[in-house]
Amino acid sequence: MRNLVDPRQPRMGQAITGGALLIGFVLGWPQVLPVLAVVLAGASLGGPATNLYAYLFRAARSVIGFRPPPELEEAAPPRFANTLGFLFLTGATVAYWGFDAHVAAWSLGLLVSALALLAATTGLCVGCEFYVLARRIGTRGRIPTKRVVPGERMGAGA
Amino acid sequence: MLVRLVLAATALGVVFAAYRLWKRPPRRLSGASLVELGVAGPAIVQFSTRSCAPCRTARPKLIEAASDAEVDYAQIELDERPEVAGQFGIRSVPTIVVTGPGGAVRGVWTTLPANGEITEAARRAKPA
Repeated sequence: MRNLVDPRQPRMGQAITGGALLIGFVLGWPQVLPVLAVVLAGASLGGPATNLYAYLFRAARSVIGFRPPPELEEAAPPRFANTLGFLFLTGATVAYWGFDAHVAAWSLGLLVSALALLAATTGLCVGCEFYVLARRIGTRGRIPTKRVVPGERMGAGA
Repeated sequence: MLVRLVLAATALGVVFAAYRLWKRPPRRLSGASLVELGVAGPAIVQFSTRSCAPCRTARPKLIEAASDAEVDYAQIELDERPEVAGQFGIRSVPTIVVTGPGGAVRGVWTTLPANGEITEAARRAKPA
């Protein structure tokens, strides 16, 4: 069975990531780059047990008392997006402290911030789209293709 | 700090502008016919993928709209037929289409529109 997640959880994580990076950039706090790289490493490599955002979401849910979500979504695409965010922020950290390339580091940080805020506010998760693309390329020819389309068709009033 | 604020605002502006462009209804769908996909009459058609949570949320509402307008509802999974996405230039899911007689596309949306809009479009797409 596929792992499913409340779609509000990755959205909350994306909002925190995007907002923190944006504030860090505006206020000139480069420490936010490695800190969020570590947080995203936990979320992507370690799974739910080391996902700080999952704990924050559960805490928020117990305090605020969210209703159950109307739909769950696959956990793999947002996890893949977290992995991409981790790689970008690791690159930004290395660029900032390893090579003194501040412009390159903050460019990567701003890119992650903008894409995370885009996902949080509109639901378009670009990293998740890359997961779908990678899966499509990786499984080409091995996904059974339905020859009868529409796969589901309902008569009026049925 | 002002320079950083301007840069941050520019980065956000560029990404959100790109998003607006991305979400434009695909031109290739406008005026096309979905008859080769098996949609030969008035219908509400949702192009979706299995990992698309908004598509699952939209589905019962679209089925209800189709029932209200007395047209068919069809769902096409792009995971299973990626060539359809390429053929019609579908970039994002859900992409929702209302077809008329002959499967001719009468309206395209890339998000679930406000209540009643789809039903009304489907009613108008039916032959008089």
